[in-house]
Amino acid sequence: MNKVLINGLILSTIAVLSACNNKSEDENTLELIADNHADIAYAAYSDSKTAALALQESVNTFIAAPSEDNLLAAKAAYKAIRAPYQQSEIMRFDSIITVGKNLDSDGGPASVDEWEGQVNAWPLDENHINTIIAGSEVINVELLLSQNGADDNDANVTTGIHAVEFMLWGSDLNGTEAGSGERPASDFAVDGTCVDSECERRAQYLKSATDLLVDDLTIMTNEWSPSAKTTSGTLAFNFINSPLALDYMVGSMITMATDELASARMGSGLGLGDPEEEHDCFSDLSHLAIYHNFQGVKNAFYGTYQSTTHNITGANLSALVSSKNVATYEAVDTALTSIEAKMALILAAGERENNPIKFDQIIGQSSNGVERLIAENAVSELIALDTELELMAEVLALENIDTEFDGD
Amino acid sequence: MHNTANTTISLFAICLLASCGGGEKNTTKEPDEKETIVAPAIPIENEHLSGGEASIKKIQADAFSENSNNMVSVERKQTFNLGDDFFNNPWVEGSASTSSRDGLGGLFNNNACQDCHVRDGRGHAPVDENDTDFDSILFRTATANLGFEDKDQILQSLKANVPDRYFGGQLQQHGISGVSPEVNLQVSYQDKVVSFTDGSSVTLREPTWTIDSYNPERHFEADTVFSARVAPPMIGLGLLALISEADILTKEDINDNDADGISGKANYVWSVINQKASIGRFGWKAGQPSILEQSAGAFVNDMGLTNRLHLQETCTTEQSDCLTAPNGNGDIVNDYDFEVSDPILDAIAFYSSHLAVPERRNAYSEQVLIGKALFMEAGCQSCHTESYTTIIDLDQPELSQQSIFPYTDMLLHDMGEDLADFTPENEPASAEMLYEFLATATEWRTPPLWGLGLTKTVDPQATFLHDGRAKTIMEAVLWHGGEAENAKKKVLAFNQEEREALLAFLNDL
Repeated sequence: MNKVLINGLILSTIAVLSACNNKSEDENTLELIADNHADIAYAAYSDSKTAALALQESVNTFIAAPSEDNLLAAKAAYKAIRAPYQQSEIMRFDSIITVGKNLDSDGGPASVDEWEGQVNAWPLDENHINTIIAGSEVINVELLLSQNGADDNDANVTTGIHAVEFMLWGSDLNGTEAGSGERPASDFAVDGTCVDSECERRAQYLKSATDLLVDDLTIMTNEWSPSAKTTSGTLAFNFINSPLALDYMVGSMITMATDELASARMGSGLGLGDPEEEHDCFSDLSHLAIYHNFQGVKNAFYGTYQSTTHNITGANLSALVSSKNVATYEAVDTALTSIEAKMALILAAGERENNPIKFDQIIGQSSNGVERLIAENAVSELIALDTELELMAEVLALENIDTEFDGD
Repeated sequence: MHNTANTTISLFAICLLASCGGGEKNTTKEPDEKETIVAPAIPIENEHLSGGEASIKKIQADAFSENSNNMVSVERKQTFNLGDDFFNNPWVEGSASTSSRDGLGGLFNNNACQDCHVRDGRGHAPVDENDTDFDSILFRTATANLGFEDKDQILQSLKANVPDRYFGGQLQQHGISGVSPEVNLQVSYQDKVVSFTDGSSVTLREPTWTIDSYNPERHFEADTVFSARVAPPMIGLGLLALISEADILTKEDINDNDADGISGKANYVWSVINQKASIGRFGWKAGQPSILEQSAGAFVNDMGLTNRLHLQETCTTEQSDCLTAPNGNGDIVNDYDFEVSDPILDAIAFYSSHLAVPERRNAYSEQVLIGKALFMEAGCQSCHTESYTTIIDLDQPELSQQSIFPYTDMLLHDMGEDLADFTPENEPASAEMLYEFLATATEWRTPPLWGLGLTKTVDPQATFLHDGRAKTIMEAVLWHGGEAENAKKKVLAFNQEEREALLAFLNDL
């Protein structure tokens, strides 16, 4: 009998010992941790939805009166989505909990990955969007949906956050030098000064992508709402009722830390020196995106989520691990604290008023660049975190469930 | 994956019944003293570690996607991750803003490695004549009527073959915008019933391929022969690269001097890197000498992505739309005259070298060991060589000097007419026809069997053999012909219990 099955047996036995009496302390703890994690998911998605609604309003204002000021306001509204949405991404991985389990019976998404591919797909080839705008088909949500992933190509992204980002900023032609995309408000001119006769179609595109984003975030918020917890066919229901809920949480932490942050979202750009490999390449907000992805990892461990509207603390993995094996808890806690320090420095460098250093500039720094060294160390520590988290899974006798269902 | 979850859940249920029912004690059941014609194979130390210390303990859909378990260097894991990123994510048409990832096509089979090697595993053939999914299978061409000079060059391993003049050596069913694809593809299947001695039977499906020129003005040459190739699994390749040449050549028996019906021939192929003939190790006909060259070849042929080893797109001189398609040379900060930058090509090769082989799950159970004994008795190991110790490679400490159990001799064997490369009329090509360097139209390299039992866990759609015709492992066994005819006949004589044991063994790999 192999180890995974043995682990399953131990978990089952623990569950059974209590099934005939009251629930064991352990089982109660597991349920509370999963429940708290579902609360965090709801908070992060509802904050994202609220921010998207604000974006929709400012986009509508901008389209009606395309001034530079209104463009700046729309960009600020876009930026406000990044913090909650990137934290929600710890819930975005498909797994045996989330696929094939009745998921669309409530009218929600049939697959988290498909939903995600419509909301935050990346990298995005803007040529595809430009071609659609230059074309003659009526631009609406339906067209965007039909063209997303067109030609069986995942980089043909027409929808979601990065499509909106491209519409607001345009291509970043500054390479690794300072400066993001510099799309002028006049790209959306309605006063007859449009330089290329595509302004109206750009506005239609921006509006359609924004409207769809609001719809999608509404759907996902509903999937995790308090009432969803008791509604069959929702993600929240599947999650909190699964005996593998904690396994999914730890698997997601590992995937986000290693496959996403240490690899695609930070490591590839740093390794190749190509600024187009950064996550938010049009707006140069990658520092914000990756920082909050990492917060999502921490949230899952410490059971916390903070925003202007939410302040969640509750039953959490860190306390459970600590109760079972202090050394393992300390190893994970120390690693997360150390990575946090580096991610915070990257965030601060990108946000500071004077002479900010954005992630594409970090990519362009020489091998002894201050921020590059910090970022490279963060990547190394994120990779090493994998080992600590695997140990934690062993301590918790978790099954190693696959959280990479799309093959990432 | 679902099976595993179910197992856990049913264990749960059993425990529940047992503990609430109060007291029925689990007693260890004595194994039935059934008559078997063989004794269980004697276990070999650590044979559950198919890939030596690089093996990983994974049994789910990501079982083929992990790096060598003994990799400790963070820097090396980072290179692996970089390769993983570019193996997974799609390449786009040039010239896109995602400048490290552009240059797809003109012509291509697929836009991401992962979309053929599904979750780093095996591809599949389409289900039936209505299924247009040719995403993880491709077709090569070679012409049968060779002049003396061409044949001489092939026999000297200076070139693989003489491809169809208009279509080139590989048929691409996709083109980027403005570039016509080369072919329309379809398959239909005919049932073929094979019976065991005890009367039970298996229905195989025999494919008939339809390969039509997309451009009605263009036709295949009269002597063009096609070769179907499903994407093979990616695990353990770095270990196969470190099997010593001596170990491979010692099993070579080109003229079957020992008269056991099995020859075994090493392919010698042109190495672009070494600029000389080298032993072929990778690909269905062992047509590539190294993982780096295999990767570089796949980039240019499967995705239309030039690289430092292949500076030219595969468009033939008459395919002007392909020739003038936009390229993705260089990226936003670096100049290079090809599409896949060196760090990416090297990271892909590193990644492909380090996809770990999963540990076996039940290597020492009685049924599995009986199955292994039957595998040996049938003579399967005559080609599916069980084990090696890899050579020392200081650049690959994780793979160096490992005791491995790949079940391949890395040699070419004649597998018979049924599995041969085929003419446009779906007739088998001549066993004499040189198809890819020294490999003839009926010869295939013995594929490694490690990971076999997790194939469908990684991708339920996966199918077996070079053209994906076998839906199950037993079907694959039963398609064996040519040099493997005798081994197959022995399997056909196995009774139900023996067949189950054999499959228990194969599924445990």
